[in-house]
Formats: sequence, C-alpha cells, structure tokens
Amino acid sequence: MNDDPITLCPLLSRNVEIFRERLGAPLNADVIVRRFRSGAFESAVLAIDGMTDSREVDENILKPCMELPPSAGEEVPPCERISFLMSHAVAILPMKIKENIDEILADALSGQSVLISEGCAVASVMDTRGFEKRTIGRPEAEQVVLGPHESFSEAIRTNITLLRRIVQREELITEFVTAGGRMKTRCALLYLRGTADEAMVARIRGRLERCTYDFALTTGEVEQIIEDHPYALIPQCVHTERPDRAASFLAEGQIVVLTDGSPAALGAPATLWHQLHTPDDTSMRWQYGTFLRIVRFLGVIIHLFLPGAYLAVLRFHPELLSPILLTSVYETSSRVPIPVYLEALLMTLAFDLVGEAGLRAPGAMGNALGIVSGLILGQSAVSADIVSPLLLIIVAASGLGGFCVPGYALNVGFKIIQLLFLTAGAFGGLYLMALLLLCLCCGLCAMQSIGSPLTAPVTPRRAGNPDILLRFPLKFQKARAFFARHRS
Amino acid sequence: MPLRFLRRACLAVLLACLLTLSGCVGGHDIENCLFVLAMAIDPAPDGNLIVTVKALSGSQGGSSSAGGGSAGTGEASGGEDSSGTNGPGNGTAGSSLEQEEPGYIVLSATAPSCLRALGLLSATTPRTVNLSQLREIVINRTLAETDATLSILREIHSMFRANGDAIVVVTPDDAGDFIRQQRAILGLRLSKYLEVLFDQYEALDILPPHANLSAVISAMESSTIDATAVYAAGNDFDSTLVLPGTSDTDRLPGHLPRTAPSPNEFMGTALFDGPRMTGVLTGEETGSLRLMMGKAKRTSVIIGGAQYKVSTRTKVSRRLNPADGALEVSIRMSLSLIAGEQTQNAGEIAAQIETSAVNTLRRLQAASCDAVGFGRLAVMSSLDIPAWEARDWQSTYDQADVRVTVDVRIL
Amino acid sequence: MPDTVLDARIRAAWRARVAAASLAVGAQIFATGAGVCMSISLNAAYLSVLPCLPLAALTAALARWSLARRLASTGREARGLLSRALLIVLALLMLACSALLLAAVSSLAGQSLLSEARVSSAVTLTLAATVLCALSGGTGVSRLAYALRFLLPLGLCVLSLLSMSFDSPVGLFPLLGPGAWQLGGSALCALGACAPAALLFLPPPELEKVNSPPDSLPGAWFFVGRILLGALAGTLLLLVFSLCNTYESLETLSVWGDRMHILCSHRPREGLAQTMLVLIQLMCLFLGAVCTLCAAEHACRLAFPALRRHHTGLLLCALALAAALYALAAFGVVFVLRAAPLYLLPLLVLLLLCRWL
Repeated sequence: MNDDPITLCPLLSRNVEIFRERLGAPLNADVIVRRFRSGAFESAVLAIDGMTDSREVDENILKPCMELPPSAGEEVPPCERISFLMSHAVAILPMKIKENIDEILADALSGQSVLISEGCAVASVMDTRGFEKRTIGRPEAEQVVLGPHESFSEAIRTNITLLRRIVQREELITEFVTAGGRMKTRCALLYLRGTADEAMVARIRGRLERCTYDFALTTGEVEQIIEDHPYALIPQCVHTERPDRAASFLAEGQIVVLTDGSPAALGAPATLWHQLHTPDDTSMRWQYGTFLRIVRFLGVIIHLFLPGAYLAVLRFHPELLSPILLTSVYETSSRVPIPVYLEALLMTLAFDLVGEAGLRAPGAMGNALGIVSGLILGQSAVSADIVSPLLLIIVAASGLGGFCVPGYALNVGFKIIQLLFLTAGAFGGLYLMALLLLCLCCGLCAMQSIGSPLTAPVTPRRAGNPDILLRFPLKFQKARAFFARHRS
Repeated sequence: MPLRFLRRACLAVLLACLLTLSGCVGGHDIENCLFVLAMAIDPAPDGNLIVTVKALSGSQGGSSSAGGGSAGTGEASGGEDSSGTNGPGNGTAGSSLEQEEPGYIVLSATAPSCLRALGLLSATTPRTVNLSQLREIVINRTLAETDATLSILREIHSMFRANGDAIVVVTPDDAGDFIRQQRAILGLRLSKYLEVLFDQYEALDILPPHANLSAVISAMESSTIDATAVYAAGNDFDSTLVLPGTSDTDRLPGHLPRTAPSPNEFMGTALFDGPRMTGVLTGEETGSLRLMMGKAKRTSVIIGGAQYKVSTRTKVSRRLNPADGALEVSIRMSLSLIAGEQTQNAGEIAAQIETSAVNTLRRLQAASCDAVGFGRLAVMSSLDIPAWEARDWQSTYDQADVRVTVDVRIL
Repeated sequence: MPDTVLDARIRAAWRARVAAASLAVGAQIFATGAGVCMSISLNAAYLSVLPCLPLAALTAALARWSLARRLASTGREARGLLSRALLIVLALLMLACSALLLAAVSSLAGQSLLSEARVSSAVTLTLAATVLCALSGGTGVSRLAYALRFLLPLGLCVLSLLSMSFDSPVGLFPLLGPGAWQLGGSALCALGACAPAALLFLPPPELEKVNSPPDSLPGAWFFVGRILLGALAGTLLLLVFSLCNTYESLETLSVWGDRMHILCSHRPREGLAQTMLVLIQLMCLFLGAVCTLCAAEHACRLAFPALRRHHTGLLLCALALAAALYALAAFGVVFVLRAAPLYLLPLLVLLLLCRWL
C-alpha cells in the first residue's frame, strides 16, 4: 500500500486508526488499543493480547499514567510528552523511542507495548513480553556424563540470559538482527568485542539482513542463510543446545547466533574439528578426553569406510581375507539370492529406517521399535538367507560408529558419504574408494566457514592449541582459535 | 548463481555418464569365484599338462558325489580327445569333476598349457578361477626336470595373481593324486592345515626356506642364486628302503620307516639350476643347508644320543676366498645339554657338523644349485651386468673348493 | 586485518603450495624412473634419477627469486607477449606432467588393484576423479598435500619396509646396472622429471587478490629443502624397488605398471602390505597429477583472463588431458614414456625466460 505513512503523526486518533488498520482490528481480536487520560493530555497503549504481561502493563504503565494529576504535563511541549511520561510515570526498564510505524508494529507483534500521546509524533516501545514459554530443560541430543545439564529454550531472551550468566564480561555484545522478508524472525548475534573478528560479524549480519526468503524460523534455516557452501555435504557451522558449549565458542572468538523460537545456538566460524569435539572432552581429564576422542574418531572411520571396504575386498580383493573368513563368507553368500551390493544397500537403508522410525514414533513405542526391528527382523532375515550374518554385523558396527558423531547434522552428512563409499567399493574396489576419498578431502580442504578454512589449523597451517585429535592438558592450551582477533 | 549451479550439475552428470559408459571394472561376486587352495601339475601325453585343483565347494559338508565315476570319465575323455585329430593349438582338452571331501571339490583338466587348463576349468564349472587363496603348488618331478617349470609358475603368478605365499612342492608321485589324498584333520580347514603343516615342518628344519612361489620365481630368474622347493611324496611304509646307519630324516619322503596320520610326507629339498630341477637333498641335508643360510629354526638337536639346546646366537658367515675362490662358511654355535649323556666333546660335534655341511655343499655343487647364495657375494665385485655375465659364475661355482669351519661351544 | 594475520595466511598458503610441488616432483621422479629409467638401466634406475635432485632444487630457487621480484610489482595477470608466452609454456609443461602422472596411475591401477578391468575403465575413473578434485581449484589439493606431508612418506616408508626382504640386497648389485653409458643415457632421459617444481612460479590461487609483500614469502631454503625432500622420496622408492626385484626380473617386465609394483618378495603375508603400498603410491601419483593440472589451469587463466568464467579453463585442460589419455590407452604408453625427456626442453625455456625477464 503506497499510501501507508512511514512515521507517526502528532494526532493520536490518526495514529490509533493506523494501528487498527494495519493490524486488522477489530477483526483481529488479539489487538488491544487502550486510550486513557494521562495528566493534561490523552495517551494510548497498543499491545497484542497473550504476548504481553498484562499485569506489568497495568501496574507500570496504565496505573501510574492515569494517576497523574490533571495538570501534569501542561507546560510540556507536545513533542516531549512521551519523554515526560517516561520520566515521571512509566516504571519499565527496557525502553526505546521510535517513530517508524513498521518498526513499532514489528515490536508490538513481538510482545512489546507501545505508548503514544496526543501531539507527539514518537512512541515509546517498552519490553513487557510475558508470553508462555518452556522452562529450561536438559539437552536432548548433547547429553554428557560430566558437565552442566541445562539447555537452551525457544525464548531468545532466556537464551541470552543463560549465556550472560556464564560469560560475565563487559565485552559481550548482543546485536539483534531480523531475518526473513515477510515473516521476520529475530536473531541475536553474540560475540566478544575485541576477540571476535569484526569482518566476520559484519559478514554474518549482512547475510542475514540480505536474506530474501519470506521467513527463516529455525536455527537450521538461519544456518543455511549464512553458510558459504550450501551444496556441500558437511555443515559449516556448529549447532549446540548447551549454553556452556556456546560460551566456549564465544571465548574462542566465534560468533554465536541465537534464533527466536529455536532451542539451539549456532557457532560460526566453525572448523571440522569443532564439530567432532564434545563438551565431555574438555570437562574430563585430558587422558580420558583423549581416549574418548580417539574412540570417536575410530567410530567415524568405521562408520564411513567399513561397509565399502567390506564390499571392495569381497568383490575385488579377496586375497586380503583370511581363508577361514573367506570360507565362511563364501558358504553363506552362496545361499543369498541377491547381489552383495544390493544386500549391503538394503541393510544400510533398513538401519537408517529403524533410526528414523524410532525418532518419530511416540515415546514408549520408539524404545520397543529398536528391539523389535533389530532382533526380529535381523534374525529373520538371516534365517531366511536374505542377508548374510557377517554383513549384518558390518552394518551394525558401522551404525554404531555413526552414533559416535556428535552432531546430528554431521551424522546425516556422514551417512550420505557412507553410501557413496559403499557404492564406490562395490563398483571400483579400494581404488575407487581411494579416489573418492581424495576428491572429498580436496573439496573439504577448499571449503570455508564464514571465510575461515574449514580444515584449519591442520591445513592450511594456523597456529592453534594442541587440541585436534589428542586433547593436551589445559596448561598447554594457551591460545584462542586462529580466527580470533586477539589470540593469546 | 543458478547458471553456475547448472554448469556444475552438467559437469557432474557428464562425469557420471563417463563412469557408466566406461564398461566393467572387473568385480566379481564372491559366489561366482572358484577359490583354489591346492594345485597340481602333471605331464600328460603329447606334451599336454594335467592340472588338478582342490577348491572350496561352497557347501557346508556336502556328500561325496557320484562323481567318483566321472574321474574315470574325465581321464578317458581326456585320452579320447588327445588321441583324436586335434593339435595342441586347438585346445585338446578334457575335464573331470570329483567330490573328495565335504566342503572341497577336486577338479582336473588337460590342456597344452596351464593357462588353457585353468581357463577350461573356469568355463566348465562355470566360475572364475581365483588363485588368491592358493597354498600349495605341487609339480611332478618329471615336469620339474624340464625348462617348463618357470614359465608355468610365472603364468600362474602373473596372469592369475596367485598368492605369492603358496609353497612350491615337487613330488615324484602323481601330483594330482598327491593333492587328492591330502585331507585336513582335527577339524581344521584345509588352508589352515597346510599353513600350520608347513610352519611345523620348517620349524624342524627339514624343509628349505624361501620355497614360496614369488621367491622361487625370483630365484629361478636370478643369476646370483638358485631356487629350492619342497620335496614331498606319499609314504608307503611297506616298501621302505631300510638303509643302515642313517637317521629317519636322512632320507627322502616315500622311503621313510614310519607311519603318520597323513600319507603325504614333506621332507627334503628339490634343487634347481635355473628353471630345471637337478637334484634332491634329504631332510638332514636340508637342515645343514638352512644352517649355512642362517635360517636354522631348530631349538634342539640330538647328537650322539644326547639332546642339546641350540643357542639363538648362532653366527653364520659366508665368504668367497679372494685368493682361490673357495666357498667358505663359518659357523659358531653354542649348545647346552638338556637330556641324555654327553658322549662327544665339542670338537667331535663340530667335526660332525662340518662333514655334514661339506657334503651338503658338494651335493649342491653337483646339482649346480647355488641355494646358499654365494652368487650374491660374487656379484658384489662386478661393477655392471656385462662384467658379471662375462664371469660365468655357474662354472666357477661348480668347480670351487668348499671349506666349512664350525666352532662349537658346549655350555 | 592485522599484518600478522595476513602474514600467517600468506605463509600457510605458500607452505601448502610447496608441499604440493614437492609431492608432484617425487611422484614424477618415481613414475619417470619406473617408466623410462628402469627399462634402460634396470636395477640402477635410482642412480639415474639422482641428477634430477639438483635440477629440481635449482628450479625451486629460481622460482623463489622470480616470485620475490614479481611480487614487488602489482598484477597477477599477464601483461605483454613475453609473460603470456611464459605462462603458456608453463601451462603446457604442467599439462604434460599431469598426463604422464595420470597415465602412470592408470597403468599401476590396471596392473594391481583393477587387474581385470578394461584400460578405458581405469582411465575414465581416474580422469573423472582428477577433474572433480581440480574443481575446487589448486587450493584444495595443495592443502591436502600439506596435510599429508608426513603421513604419505611415513606410510610409504613403513609399507616399503614391510614389503622388502632383509635377507640380502637382492637387486642392488651390480651397482651400475647394464653399464655406465646406459646409466648416463637414462639419467639424461630422467632430467625432465623435476618439471613439476616449475609450478612454484605461480602464486597460490587463494592469494591472487592479496598484495603480499616479498618478505612474507618463506625463505629460499624452505622452497629448496622441501622440493629436495620430495625428490628424495621418489628416488628412495625407486631404490626400494631395485632392492626387491633382480635385474633379471626387471628385464622381463615390459608393462609400466608392473615395474611400479613389487611382484616378488621373500616376506610372508605380502598381500595386505603390498596392497596398502600400491594404494599409497596411487594416491601420491594421483595428487601429483591433480596439482599439475590445477597449475596448468591457473596458468591458462592468467594468460587468458576470459577463461576464468565457469571453470572454462579447467574444462579445456581436462579435454586436452582426456584426449591424451585415451590416445595412450589406444596406442600404448610407449610414446609418452619416450617423450618424458622432452619435458626438459620447455623447462629450460621457462627458466631462461624467467632469468631474462
């Protein structure tokens, strides 16, 4: 609508009319517009029902304003009436003065209250959010043995509070940015001024602001807006549900992006090693952390390569098998009616199906599903000579290795890569697997995360802490990440 | 951006098409392979070869089939075919199918060459012959004494990518029968049985070192060392030649005064001069050979009725005397008495070992087989290949003096 | 951005670049030694590639000197006919090196891991993988070479030791092989094997938009030392093959892939160790081929800026490579092996042009 005014006008009635028209009142029953007498002039409060804390509005805005003496504000110039009310009546801490109608409406829709007065062309926007939200719970996907058990929730303010409780530093900056075109989502960029690289902050901010999608409601969608390589299989940001982990990102010089409505935070820039580390590695003693890390890396290697290597050896390099193992495989394979590649593909997909079904099935059913699928289906398939027992073990071991991958997004990426290696091993043996590995590694080494190399500090070489595969004692970890501005 | 994505997608599709259009890459499903564990090669009339293989059958304890009769059929068919009009180039061939023991199958084919015979087996089974699990190659002695051995072994190794660890065995018996009567016992798989068997025999120092396929080929092609293979035969206790004054290992298999669970006995060394077999060493002589090569594995010896433990620090050195070109071996060993009564002193024991070693070396010279590797010492003094080849090491070796010095210490 | 951060970036990029060049030089020396020198000087092939080492060091030193001079002036793109000619010569040289290395990969793969595959299959797989790796530009492969700078030599060393026999140095004697003349001849043929060191004349692609001052470059000894190490690795691997195979065996091996593969050994359980050794050899040769292909594409882009768009330069180089490889598959690798000594000529031209400019 080209005739919509951009800023408020001094006429209270006109402003109220604009607000009603834009928000669809009286058809939109959520819109509250309350006019009242505040001293010598009239004022009005605009709010959305259910989003604001009505008690706070009543106690700290309406009541103090309405209790002003009739002569209060007589000598105050009309353009300063809002300032007069804020300094003499209203008792709410977070407050901004705005005149742009679009911004005012966006704030009102987010749960803030808007105070306007007759003769004044500005409004006071006060944070009176009071909508229902989930309490702080335990992390669902990042459980640890030692360490805190708090997780983020959907309310962005709560999440910021959780971070500020841990990082009590004056350098901690919270910038709010909106993402999305028609349905704006509020995002917060948190970083330590002087530690994080301002160029990276500007890059993330710019990408969010230039977002042309209608909406970006979740952290995952925000990640897809800010990442450098949207077609890569490996994510370039690290997700976390844990405030302590997000705080460690801040300390490293990373930028944490929170999204209103998502119980997760994004850390960027991130390296591949960030995505393979867990909070347990750091919170435990260095010997245990190192051991767990080695086990995890082995799990990843088994997950990626074992099924493909098995097929490669079976089809192209049987000389690598011991004769006893070969005899066993030979005898069982003779009875299986389908080619070994299809067999492996079916088993891998079945394993993934069980995982997905368990995730979507309601609570009690989900637990039973794994047992039923594994025991009954697997046992039946072996008894019916549809699959060979050794292949079943290979797929199960590979699946277990996949569960060692800390991040769900990275886990799914690795599953796709596993299928690629499976196909390569079946059709080209160890040679094609080696070629595929080199192709993926070349691509990985060239990838960036917000302009920072994904595989650094291993390659390209950057100075960093000895904390990649082996977790050295804390006394050896003296430097921040290479992308931080001040490293020591 | 969309154009860039489109180009990348086109490139990826093109590459995928290249992959799919490039044809097969040679993978085989495992159930389509015929895994051969033992192979035997015998000469057949008209210059043909009979190749017998023992392979995994893929069944868990199948019955011995009525194919026993087909063995005769196969041989007869082979005979009938070879008596016909076909020349060697047309693949005069026959194949026979037998089931000998559960889990294994014995197949044989006759053809002008080993390659053709294996190809015939692939075609008739029909499975792709896979020699990656091969453990034993048995060659008939008559064939081993010709120049064909090297070409046969090379074909097997290079064309079929045979397992280089497979042991090469020479037998005076029918090689096919030799592998037919070879059975795994005590529940072992045949492959494991053969592996353990050869390891055990090597530990007794009655088999030569480096008798595996790749080492034999390398030695046959080399001018600095000659090949050795295992000598074996089916033992017939009733027809043993009883030779007085010799121990049970100072004999050849086939004439051993003893019985064993398996009819096949492995003992001794087949000596080669280039690709041709020229002689045999008994078990005792093989022990001397291993000692001179520094490969003796025995930890205890029985000398003069007493048992001695051999120190692991036995030192062996070989040299060519620059003055007279004599072949010199020096052995220093320490023995400690562990059982029985010592009836000989260190000097006498040393003299006994010396005599045995000298006799072994002379046997090697008589067979023109430089199994010890003196040629590798001789080649060091030649700067280039023409100088080495002009030296005619073979003649020098055959006529050189032999000196063995043994120093024994009894602890 | 603070200068220290930029310096770190520049040094890291150059380290990766030098690692890539070192890998390519080692791979080229091994492939040329096995292809050309072994057929002439048999077991003394490792001696005949020794003259490559000082030539590779000289090339690296000249590249460093040239870079230090050119970085003082601005501009990455070719200005003038002579600099364009230099880039074209460099591009052709790198393409030739890439073709030789890819032919070596296909030959070795065809004789070892894909022994029952068609030649065209091995060639197509290798070419497709090369182009996919090169899509990420020279940055990805250089960084990968840098990451593997210890792992690959260590793997080669351990697996070579596991594959060798310590009974006696089987193939070492006679020391001069067929003779001094043949040794000299094969040494001349092998001189062109140090050609991949010339890719150091090009700055890393990730630094194209960065005005790096000359003192940000690593020192000349860094360049020379790393290139020498790579060349030495290739030479030592040839020595291992000499130790494992007698000269009589080498005389009978007519296929290039067989000469790069330990066929006979005295070691037990040779299967797994030798398979892993072959895999690592293939990876080294393959990475060397990708490095040189990326360098060729980079040189083409600098010579003809219109080729920057949409990987056109890479596609053209890949097409040229494909034509060369399929011709090799059709007509045999003999003529590319015979042409290996000719790499020395464009290399000399390049060095002279560089000195003159």
